Amino acid sequence: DDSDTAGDAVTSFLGEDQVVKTACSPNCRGKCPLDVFVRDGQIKKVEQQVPAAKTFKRGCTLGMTHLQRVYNADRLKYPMKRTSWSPDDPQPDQRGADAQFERIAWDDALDLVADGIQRAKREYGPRSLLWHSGSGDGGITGYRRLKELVGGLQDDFTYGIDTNVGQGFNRVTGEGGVFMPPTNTADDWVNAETIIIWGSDIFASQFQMDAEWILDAKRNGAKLVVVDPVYTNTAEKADLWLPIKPGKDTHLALAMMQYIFEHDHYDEAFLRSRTNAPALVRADDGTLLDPASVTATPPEDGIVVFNTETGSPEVVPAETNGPFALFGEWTIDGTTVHTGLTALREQASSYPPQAVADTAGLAAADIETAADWLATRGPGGIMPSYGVGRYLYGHVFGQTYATLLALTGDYGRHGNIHAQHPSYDGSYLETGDWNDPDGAAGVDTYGYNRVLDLLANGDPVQTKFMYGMNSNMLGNQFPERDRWLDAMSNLDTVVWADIYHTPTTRQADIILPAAHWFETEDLLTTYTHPNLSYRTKAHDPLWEARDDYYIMAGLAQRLGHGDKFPDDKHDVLDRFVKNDDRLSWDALRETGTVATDETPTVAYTDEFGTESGRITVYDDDAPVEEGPALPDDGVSLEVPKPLEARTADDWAHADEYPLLFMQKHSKWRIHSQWANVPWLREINTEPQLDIHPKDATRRGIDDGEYVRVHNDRGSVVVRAKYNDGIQPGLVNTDQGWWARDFVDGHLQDLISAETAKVGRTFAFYDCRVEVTRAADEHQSNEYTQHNPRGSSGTATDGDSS
Amino acid sequence: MTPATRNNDSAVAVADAFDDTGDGPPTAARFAALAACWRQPDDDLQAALAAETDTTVDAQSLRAEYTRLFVGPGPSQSPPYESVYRDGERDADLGPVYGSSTQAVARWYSEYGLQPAASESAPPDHLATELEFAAYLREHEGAETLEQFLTEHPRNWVESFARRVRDADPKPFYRTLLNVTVDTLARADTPL
Repeated sequence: DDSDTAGDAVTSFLGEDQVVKTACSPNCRGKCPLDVFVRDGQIKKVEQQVPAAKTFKRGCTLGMTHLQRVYNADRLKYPMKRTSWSPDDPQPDQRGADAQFERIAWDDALDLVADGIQRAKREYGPRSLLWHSGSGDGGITGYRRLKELVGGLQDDFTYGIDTNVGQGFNRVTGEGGVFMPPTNTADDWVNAETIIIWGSDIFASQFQMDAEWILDAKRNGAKLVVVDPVYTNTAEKADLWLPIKPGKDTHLALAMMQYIFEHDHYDEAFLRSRTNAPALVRADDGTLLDPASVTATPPEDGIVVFNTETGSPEVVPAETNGPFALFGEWTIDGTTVHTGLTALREQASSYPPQAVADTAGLAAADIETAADWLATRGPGGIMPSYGVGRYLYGHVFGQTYATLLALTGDYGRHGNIHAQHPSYDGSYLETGDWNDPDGAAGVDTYGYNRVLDLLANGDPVQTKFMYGMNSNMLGNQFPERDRWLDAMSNLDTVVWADIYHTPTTRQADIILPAAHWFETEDLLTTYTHPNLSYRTKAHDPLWEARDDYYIMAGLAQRLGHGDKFPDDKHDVLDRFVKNDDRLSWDALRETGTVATDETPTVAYTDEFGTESGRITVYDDDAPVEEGPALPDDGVSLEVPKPLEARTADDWAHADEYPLLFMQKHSKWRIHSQWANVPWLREINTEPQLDIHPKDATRRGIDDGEYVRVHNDRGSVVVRAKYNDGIQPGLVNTDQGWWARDFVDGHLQDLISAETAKVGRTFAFYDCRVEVTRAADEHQSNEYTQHNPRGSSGTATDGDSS
Repeated sequence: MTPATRNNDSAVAVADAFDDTGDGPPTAARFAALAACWRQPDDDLQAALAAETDTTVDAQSLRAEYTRLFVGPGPSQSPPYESVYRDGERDADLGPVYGSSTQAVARWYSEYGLQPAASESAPPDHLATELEFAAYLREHEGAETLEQFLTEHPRNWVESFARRVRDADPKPFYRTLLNVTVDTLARADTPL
């Protein structure tokens, strides 16, 4: 067959490559600067770029495969509209797998979108518009500017997706927000003596940023502990792996506290000066003793402590050390009080390592070793991720590990760690009023946890028009997918911009083809490394794809805001560069990056952001959590209490659905991006269910057979993969597969969209299933023969049911 | 293509394309007409079809069918570009756009001072563009040159493309167009 060699024969090996500076920007947060080699106007190769802050050279396999994302035949090529949709007769029930589209001109597409926005505002009010953007890219698009000008509702991660761990941490420290809290920057981690990576496979899913620093610390003598139910790429690097049962993380942290209390390994000075451990708590109602009852003019942030030298209570401000009792009980003016730390120790005493070992499937000695290393080896830290918060009450873990690190005094010192993907503060742009323009109508924000109600029930308003971009929400991380599809049928019009035809654009009425990142000029900020990147356009967008900026500008023009969007995006970027003494076009163009402040930072050196300026190891203002499997009147969280829903052994349906179901992040994708890259699909061919051979053989399932993973919400058919690295009782299918990659059903159908009253966060891993051998019709090799593997695709479509 | 012009008299061209059922070498007009048919259906094409067939062609359904088969979105598309069928690394995959065969086709065009019209945003190895170029060669160059181009390019992938399109169960117009195109490319085999 000469067709194989014909192509090679004409490839020119003469001529010169042009090296174009650009950057990657999915939601791994890496934002890795890349060199793109262009010859004869086409991209030939991608390499990591050495950025200005050289020690932060990064890049991964995914970044190297962009060639197959740019030149993917499956890209969205032209604006399209669903043939059965029209402004007057939208027929939302015609969306989905069988929907037909027709190509339309850009002008017509933008007219339809702009007219739709005006019409929805006119007929149903401004709050009938819903703006949605996920985490698919980080460039300058003008999306936020246009949205602010036009008004409406916007949805948001807060609360809803991965808002548990940070929320719990923030509640007792006053620091951070709902996502990962502040931490010492990565270049300081080498000073750590003990690092506990808790529920995160950073050597697989974020290895481009954090992994090397962890290895540096290990080389420098740090002990690495990994807490993970799965023997991961990260676990294999550990000095000590704690193969915890899913959902028992708070139990484990309390057991470590118990060990630390019992062996007097807590940091007394830190507890006295920087936490409310010595604060006096009233035994009758659990509130802190009122400073005004002790002194007439208490300092604003004062707490009442018991001075063991004077033998009397006194009020002390934040950051004050002294001979304050850490434990004890007294009666002051007839009121019985004890210290906050007494309450915490009392709580921890119920979780001795021996007992928790049993509950959590661990060895008591291992729990003690981990606690001992953290408490006695010198500065260290705990590095959780979002995975450990993907349980209904996962915010309690945030409170718990913040408290544990307070016991060991691991705040404000070199070598302390509190989170993965640390923040470098210097990589920002001087955007002026770009995101907050004059004349903004403003938008109301709804967390993803509330959007389903908003769409389904018109509560509190009925949305009619949705504009989405940078997101494959129906492909990933939106649980109970069927409910979202139903809810979206209340929308007259769904407009979506993307590079590819995703499971989400398939539900759209108007599809707008967005440019690949390499086809845009842009400025990129990041917080995971101290570089600011410039994207030079490698070539124009293919077909009629457009940089999102020009889509926004086209809409702005039609909506009366054209004067606020320069015709040339470069003029916007130029404004940001000119605003900023650190930046110059010469440097950006020549090197691709500008180094921002790269001084290693130690976090938490100042007063904490709580009312008292101290970590509240006893939270007198604790919320009461309510939800499934909790007592009717809820549970108050002054001190960490292990709360469990579906992972609990006594969960009501535990017998019917005995297996816990996790959806780990994969090294082959960032969320659902890269799922359509042939090179990657050669290795990672299809979704699989990681299952322990014991669980499989008990169910008569052979390695490689197709299985139906099911519960009372839905099911998905995937291939079983015997995996000794996953514990019995737990199964896993990696997240981020597209609907078309499943033989039948969908991963998201199995997961509940229910959230807890306080947590308000989707609990992807708080999921129980049963697994059975799939029907014979699914056991043929037909599926694998026609496996879409990215760019082609005729397999059974998960959307069809 | 520029500077060569497409045959704008689509009605005549389409008629010619479908009526020319002889065994002789296809005319330049036939290549040009086929090329016109492989583009996104426009009003000219609809008028041409209306004029030449008894039934009225529904322009919207023709456009929808063209979108479904050749533009996407979705899995039933057959991207009408040479590299997609020739430059993939494995048979099971669709190849990339802008592959090495795309470059080879573009080099043919530039040898003759031609390039795809600015209005065509598609890669240069679009089936319609290759047919337009065949029309140019048929008109301006010798038979051997045309033969060489057809052998190096459209004949090398049109069968794979046709198989994939047929799997998507095309409506009559595109089924016929596909047959006529495959047949035309084969017929040109006969030396002039």
